[in-house]
Amino acid sequence: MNFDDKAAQAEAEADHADHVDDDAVKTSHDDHGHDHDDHSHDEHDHSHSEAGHDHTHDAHSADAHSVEKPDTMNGQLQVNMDHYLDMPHLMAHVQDSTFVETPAFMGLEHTDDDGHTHSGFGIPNIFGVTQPLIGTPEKPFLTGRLTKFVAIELVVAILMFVIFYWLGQKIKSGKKPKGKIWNALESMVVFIRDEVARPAIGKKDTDRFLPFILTTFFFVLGLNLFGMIPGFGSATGSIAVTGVLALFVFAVVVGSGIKKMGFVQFLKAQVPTMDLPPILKAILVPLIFVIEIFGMLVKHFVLAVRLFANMFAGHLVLAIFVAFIGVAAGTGLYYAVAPIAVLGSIAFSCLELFVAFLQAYIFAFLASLFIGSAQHAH
Amino acid sequence: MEEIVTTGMSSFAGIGIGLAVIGAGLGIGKIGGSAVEGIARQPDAAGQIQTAMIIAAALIEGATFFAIIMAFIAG
Repeated sequence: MNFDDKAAQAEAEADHADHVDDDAVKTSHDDHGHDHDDHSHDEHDHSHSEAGHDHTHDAHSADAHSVEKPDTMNGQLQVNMDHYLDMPHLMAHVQDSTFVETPAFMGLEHTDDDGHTHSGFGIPNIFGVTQPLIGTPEKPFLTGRLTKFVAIELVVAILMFVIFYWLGQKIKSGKKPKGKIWNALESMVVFIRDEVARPAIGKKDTDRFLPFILTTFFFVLGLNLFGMIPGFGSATGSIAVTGVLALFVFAVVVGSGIKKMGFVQFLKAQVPTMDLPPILKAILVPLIFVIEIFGMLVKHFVLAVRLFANMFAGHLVLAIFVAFIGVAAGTGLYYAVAPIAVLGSIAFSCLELFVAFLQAYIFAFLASLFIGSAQHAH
Repeated sequence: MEEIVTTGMSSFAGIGIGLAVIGAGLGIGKIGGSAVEGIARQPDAAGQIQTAMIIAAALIEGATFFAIIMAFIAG
């Protein structure tokens, strides 16, 4: 039998007791897309397969021989595909969870609240949540439990505070930037101020909104970049996170517009002034008003969806790329598919890195554009 | 005859995703073409043209990804 496996393979198998679970399917499949180093290790791990194999037999011998190995290659492929290219399974790797998955060779194990065992460490339930805040235990809507994404957001926020407090002190001292980190940070801040915020909002008003735009940019950038780290994910891959960010942008846009012009005047400013005979005006102005209000809501909603979809889809495709290794396992195709999948996922991760920066920039750019258009009436 | 390997996804979702990608490909291709043409006319403006191209492409991709995700979920 040809396979190289890790204990995590058995972990993942025990997780899906309803799926086919046997020796023929054991592969190097582990974390989707977050484990490039491990996959390159896998090529060298053939010698460890015995030790790993024995361990998995000891831990999960009940599942080891539940299904016969299919006769044909297509049969084996079908079995693998049903197990690995299973949409809920793949999406679970990209979405929020209560544990951080680590490769099996690190030897960590974690049993989550449902009783499933994974290789990794759990996010502690610091608030001691047992009942969901909103919703029932079967269909929770808001649990209030500390999850991976929330922990990542807190880490990014604390990191940002530390880094930019340091930068602020350096700027306050008035010296010229020296060294790589200082120069890099300052060049990014100046780029956002001069190329993104000032052209959109205008020189006068930019300084009021600059903290918000800079915070948004670096927060989104930090969250996106955390998705490149194996085991963690990008918290912006959750519509809840991006939805709240877009909600804040909406609040700043509408709030600053109302503060500048007053509520009624702000509404009036949505419709451009036109010279029309009164009868046409009575028809067109309400129509345009409705379209503009709807358009404003849609613009901010799409802001959230754009960021969410880019991050979510990127990591999902990466997961599928790596799942192909599992799909080809146990067949002759494996030796062709596995190297290509590893190289492909590395290349795709480079694209993901570019998309992380690009989407953060686009988010900040559009936010400043919306703020600018609300500050200056049409 | 050997069995055919099938995925769990419906073929309609696949068609939807294909259509969305056609739209994105056409749109972004047009942007890329105009950008390259603009750079050919005025090499000095290459930086600005490139920035504008990337922004427009990202906006189109946002809509495309939205369609793809909806197709995934519904398919």
